[in-house]
Amino acid sequence: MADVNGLIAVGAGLAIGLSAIGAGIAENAIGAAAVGAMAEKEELFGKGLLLTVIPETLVLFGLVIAILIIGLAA
Amino acid sequence: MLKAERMSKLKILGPDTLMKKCIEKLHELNVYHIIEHKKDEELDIGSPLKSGEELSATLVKLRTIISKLDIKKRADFQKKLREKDYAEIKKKTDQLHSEISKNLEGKKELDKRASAINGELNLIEMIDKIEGHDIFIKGSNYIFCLFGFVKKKNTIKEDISKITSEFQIESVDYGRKSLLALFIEKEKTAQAQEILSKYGFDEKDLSSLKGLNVSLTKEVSSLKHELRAIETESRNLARKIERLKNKEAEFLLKSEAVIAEEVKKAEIPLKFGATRKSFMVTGYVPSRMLQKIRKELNDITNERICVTEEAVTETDKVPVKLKNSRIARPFEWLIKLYGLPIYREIDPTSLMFITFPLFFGIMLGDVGYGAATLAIFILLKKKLPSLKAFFNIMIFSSLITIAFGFVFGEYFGFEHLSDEKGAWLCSNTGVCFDKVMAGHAAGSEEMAEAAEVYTYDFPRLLNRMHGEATVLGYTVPSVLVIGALIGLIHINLSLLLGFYNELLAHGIKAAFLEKVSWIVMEAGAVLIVAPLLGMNINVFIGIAVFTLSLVLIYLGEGAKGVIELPTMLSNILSYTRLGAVGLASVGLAIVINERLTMPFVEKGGLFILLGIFILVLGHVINLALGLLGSFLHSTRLHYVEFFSRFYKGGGVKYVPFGIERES
Repeated sequence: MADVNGLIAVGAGLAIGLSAIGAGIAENAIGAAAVGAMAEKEELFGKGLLLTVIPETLVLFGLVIAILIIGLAA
Repeated sequence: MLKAERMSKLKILGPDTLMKKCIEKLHELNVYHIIEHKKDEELDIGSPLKSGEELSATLVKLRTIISKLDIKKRADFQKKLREKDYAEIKKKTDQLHSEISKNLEGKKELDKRASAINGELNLIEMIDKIEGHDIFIKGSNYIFCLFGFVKKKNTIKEDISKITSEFQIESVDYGRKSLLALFIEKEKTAQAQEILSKYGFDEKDLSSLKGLNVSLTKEVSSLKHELRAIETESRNLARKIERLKNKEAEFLLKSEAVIAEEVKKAEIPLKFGATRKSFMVTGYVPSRMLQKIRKELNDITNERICVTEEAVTETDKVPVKLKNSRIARPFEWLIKLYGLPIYREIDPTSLMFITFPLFFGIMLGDVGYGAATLAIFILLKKKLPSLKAFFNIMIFSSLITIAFGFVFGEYFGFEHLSDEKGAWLCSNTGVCFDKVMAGHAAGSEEMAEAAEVYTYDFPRLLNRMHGEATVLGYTVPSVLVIGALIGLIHINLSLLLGFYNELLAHGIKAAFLEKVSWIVMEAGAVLIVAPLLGMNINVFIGIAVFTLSLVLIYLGEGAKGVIELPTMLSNILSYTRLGAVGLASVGLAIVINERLTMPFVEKGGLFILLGIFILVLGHVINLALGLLGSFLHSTRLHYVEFFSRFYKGGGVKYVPFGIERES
């Protein structure tokens, strides 16, 4: 069986990496649409930015899990 | 300081005989922001002043001249235009316009003729290479000549011989293609053309040469002579135009500026409401200027117009003029980037003035990098004065970065001095740093103890790389915890500001339900977690408070508020990036210093130069990354996490009717 610390590290990496990929895919389309809307109407910058970063929640949960997992290694 | 300037809505009504006087006065005062009147059943839009048409024509002429002469500089000149001045300007403009048009047209004609001559010279040069060129020139009734370029590899001779035996081909190499002259009976011309087109035949028209003198050399010399004459004439004209440009540029620019303002004044009635004999304007002025405007307008019209103040309704789009102290003013640039606040909303410039440099400093946090960015931006400020506000923001942030560099004890990524240098510094100058066991430098604590490696640590309040804190039983880097705590404070501040905004806009009940409900939710969450921390509180109290807050949120914002519950946690944790970006920057700096440079420096000799090169290159890259990352993340934390709970944005900029001043 592989070293426990090694597996913990891999787990933490996957936790944050995969959730970041997911958030990236989500923000891809939203961001493109937001920039398009902004090109037509400047006032939508605030709303557009806000909507674009809504999927950040996914990444942050991944981060929390990663930190908790790393805490197990000590 | 925390709000934009207070505005009053002002309506001006009067007979159209006094309209011109009012327009002149309003333009001079330069404080009235005019709202465009939409045509409705009661009131039509006004028509421009009579002088407008002529002024526009002159303005167009001036602008044509300026663009034809390619004058780039803008003039910053304003003067009151009198009737006599305008007559002069108009006369001179018309005169200049016709003169310059004539010159430019003449030059164009000459250039056209010159290129035609060049074309002829080209043709002659080509024909000269072919034998029998006199036939082109003399022309013939029985023989037709096809002349032009074909591909080099061809079997034209064989193909033509299939259709006729009476032909003659002359060809010569010309660059990548072959120049060909085919003499053939007139009847076979069409077939021959078909054959030639298979080889990419590019025919050259010789009709311009018919009737020329057989002696081509004489022809060439006369054409060249004419070309030289034309070129000299063209150059003279160009010089004349240039002289005119230098002499009259100032006049043109100044006149353009003055007349543009006059045209603006003449066309402003298009924004007024009007009947056959009267006009009406609606607009906004800063409240403190209200009395002055009233008095001045009444003075010049002998109180024959009506200036009334109206109440501002909720749906009015009141223009916004930011009002901030001089040190916070550069940060208005960041607010304008996002969007001006709507009227009566809190203007967060002064708050950003405190928190933006703070976040930037925490993330970059290095004395060396801070000093470098300070130098860079002071230099850039001198070179690009148009972005002055941005550079001022960055200069101030750099100073805070240097301060945080001292707090974290980092100087270009160096956290400590080596044993010998530290000892030297201590014995020679009395500046003694702490002598500690160098754990990470020597590989591990055990190796350090065995080899007795010491380093002299720079003084600091907090070690970013190695500081740790325990949260709920888990060990995490302390900078992340600091980031999250800052996030907690910042988000709650935004909730309070949102409460104040809602209070002004919609009253206490809406404000309470929309904003305080979130604070209750936070309290509930803390009470639920409290038993885990060892406090003697029943967990059900926490659950009760939490459920109550959910009800309040639902009442305040509806279902979408409840769905957004995790965003609170997500937003607070988002601030851990303050620590994370810093850690990344420090980690890179340490790698550059200890792992990349030191091995080269320790080898000695010529490798020291290589080591220094790697050091400089590495730190330049790290600085660029750190600068970009810190700026972006600070801005994003403000725009998304901070603004989303209280700032609406989308305000209209205050543009008073008058000469536009650089703000």
